[in-house]
Amino acid sequence: MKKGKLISSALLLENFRRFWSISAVGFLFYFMSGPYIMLYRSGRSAYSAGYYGVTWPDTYFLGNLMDNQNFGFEAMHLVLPVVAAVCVFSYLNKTNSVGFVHALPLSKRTLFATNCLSGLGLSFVPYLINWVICMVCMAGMGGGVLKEYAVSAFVWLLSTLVIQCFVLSLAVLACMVSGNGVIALLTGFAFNFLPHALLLSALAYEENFLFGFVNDGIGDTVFYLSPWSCTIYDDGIGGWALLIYFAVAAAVAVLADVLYHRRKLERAGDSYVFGWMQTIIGFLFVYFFTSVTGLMFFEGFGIMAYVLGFIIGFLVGQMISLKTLHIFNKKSLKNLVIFAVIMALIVSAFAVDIFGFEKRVPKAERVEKVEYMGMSPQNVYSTMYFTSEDAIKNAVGLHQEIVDDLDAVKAELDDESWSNEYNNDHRYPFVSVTIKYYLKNGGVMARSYRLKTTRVSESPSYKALMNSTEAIQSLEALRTMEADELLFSIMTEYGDYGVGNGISLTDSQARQLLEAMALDIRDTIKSGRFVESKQVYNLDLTAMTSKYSEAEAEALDKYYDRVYNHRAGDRAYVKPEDNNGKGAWRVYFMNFEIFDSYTRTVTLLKSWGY
Amino acid sequence: MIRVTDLTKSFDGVKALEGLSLHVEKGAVYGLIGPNGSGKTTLIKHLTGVMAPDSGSCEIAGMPVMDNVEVKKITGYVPDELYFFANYSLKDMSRFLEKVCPSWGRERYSRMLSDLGLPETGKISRFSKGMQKQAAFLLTMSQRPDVLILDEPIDGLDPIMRRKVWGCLLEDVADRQMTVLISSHNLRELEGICDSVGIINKGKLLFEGKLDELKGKAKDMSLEELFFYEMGGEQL
Repeated sequence: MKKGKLISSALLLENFRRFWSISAVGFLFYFMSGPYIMLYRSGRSAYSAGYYGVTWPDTYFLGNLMDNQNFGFEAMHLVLPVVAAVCVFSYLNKTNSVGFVHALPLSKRTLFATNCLSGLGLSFVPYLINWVICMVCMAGMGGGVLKEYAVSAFVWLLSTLVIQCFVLSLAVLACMVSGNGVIALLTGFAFNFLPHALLLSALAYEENFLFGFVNDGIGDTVFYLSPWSCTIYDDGIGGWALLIYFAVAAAVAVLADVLYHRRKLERAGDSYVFGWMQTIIGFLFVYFFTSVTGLMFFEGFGIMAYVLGFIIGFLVGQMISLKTLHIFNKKSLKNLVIFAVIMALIVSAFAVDIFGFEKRVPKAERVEKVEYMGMSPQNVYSTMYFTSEDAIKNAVGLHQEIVDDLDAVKAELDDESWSNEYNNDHRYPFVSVTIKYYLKNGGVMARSYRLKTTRVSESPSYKALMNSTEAIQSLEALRTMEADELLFSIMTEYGDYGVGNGISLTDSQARQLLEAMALDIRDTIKSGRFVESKQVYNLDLTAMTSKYSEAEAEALDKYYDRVYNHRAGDRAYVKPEDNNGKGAWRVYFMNFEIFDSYTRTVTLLKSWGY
Repeated sequence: MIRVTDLTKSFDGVKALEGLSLHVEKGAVYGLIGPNGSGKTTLIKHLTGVMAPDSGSCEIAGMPVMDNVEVKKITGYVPDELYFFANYSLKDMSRFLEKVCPSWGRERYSRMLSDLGLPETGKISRFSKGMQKQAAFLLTMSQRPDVLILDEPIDGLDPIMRRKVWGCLLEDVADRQMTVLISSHNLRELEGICDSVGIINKGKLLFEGKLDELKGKAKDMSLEELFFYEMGGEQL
């Protein structure tokens, strides 16, 4: 049987002719979000520079645009392909149009491929024209702007194509399973966020039910589930990622094609044209309604929060998937029972920790490295890494101690008297401890606990861990801080945010202060005395280095990240003209709370008159 | 030219067609008659490849119908529920169909357009029901199909237009040996143009034969009388 050619140019052009207005609106949105702003700003650069200090080309704007982080472009990358897909496949939603189109001398394969290409064209062409306009604008700016951004511009073009292909393929899949324009549109958008919603809900269950669960970057993974959300989170999409996203889009398109061939055309007008899809949609409604209401209102309403969410989700899901208010029939009662059993299994699996998550502790010999992060609300100390056999055993030992006494640990958290103690004298009764294991088989396992501070400080494993060579080196890291200039400012009254004064120290005094702080921090952490501490000073430290070149700054950033971790989170470049003739510097900003237990530091500061 | 064998189709457990078989010879004008809900439109949707059968087969010119471009190229279809692209005029539709349908006859289109007196540039959606029917007929006939399938083709047409439409159709039958399958309730109208008929009820073919032979056997009964007779006199 002859299937004819894959693409019908006549149908393709006809689709463009019929739906050009979608592209026109898309073009205007793109234009107003990108090229228009470029043209406007470049024409008024003198004005802007004079009054607002804005210069053109605005590298921030161009960078955002080419990373697809411009809001208008982001929105259109999502909306246009979904709307285009729903429009070009709208003939599937009415019996008369189904009859007309399928009587044309075109195979289903040709219809599918041509309509997909039409959808892509309708959504991509508006962007492409704007891309060309942007390139022309950049060329017109002179000064090598176009040359500077040439690679970024090409990557931008390619990324957008992949994003639109991805969004379109899911929207086309939605069109294949639905038989109604509105449902197709909603499903098209929903499919683009379904993986995100499923992962987030799973994380929410884990965070709510599994004591010790730590997100540890899994939440960030949500953004990488589609190229569209990836650009929201990250600056651009890598080469391999683009290929993978494109492959996924192609696979989804193939699935959609298979469904098109299996679709019962006579079901045009139904919400969903496959019986199994009605069941899936019905269950998804149940799952999300139950999860959201259950997780949000469990504390107030107990198990009824889940039950109520289930009932609402079931009713709404059945009404939408069956497109009727009359949902009480034999089939929907059967679904009700099945869905209830599945939801009960899901919730109870987390509630009773069916997989033994909470009690799991790795064997020390399976661990290659331990990342330990202990943090009181004062940020007393931060991340340490352990690779020695003894230190790993002690880290595992501390974890085991917590797990062995899990019920008591949980009970301590529920005891509100601890928070009263904090309110009375600013002393923190709890400390957060995160232990992350890098296993020899390449796996990673992490647990995070909020523990009573005495539980940590009195732990034999903790004491042994903090007395290890690696811990001492880490705790004394301030002694060897790499910096050309150190500037301290002090807040003498904790909690009084209005008092912050720079203090004038010589280089040797600054180093002396750092040494004292390092030893005090070491001793405090080692002894666990921080538990009893009260904050008496708050010090801001600005560490300035002359390592400014890109490679130098990158290496230094890594060093600060590793050694000082979140303390050195804020950083900046200082231009030569802003640095009193000292040249260009890389600057790190840190903050330290000084407690009464920091005897060396407190004595030193007092001896200097602070 | 059209062969349907043991065709069965169910919707949600209700059988719309049940082992239906029929045969239409090349150049024949076949009238498919039956009461409402008898399965006429369902059968036609199988013949046009819109519906896939649960079992059985449909062939046109010896080729299976389902998703077969070669069959679609030689088949014209005027459905009961008409469809035109939104906001399209006859000119727009003809321009599109001319590009899609390889056997499109521009002269035929122009001549019929003139005969029917339809405005070429106005939006079809603004046409009356009868004019839309004429437009559909015009666009389908201009494709010069070897097989023409009509579902209630003369609903909404005035007597003059009916005569024009039938004339046009019979001209193609005579000139090109076009095969026609017409589903209609208008038995008197069918009697005048069909040479074969099939009576269908509850998804089954009750009767099939040439109209001349039929009349001989049925002692000069009219088609309407024959229909009532086959229905068991229920309608009488």
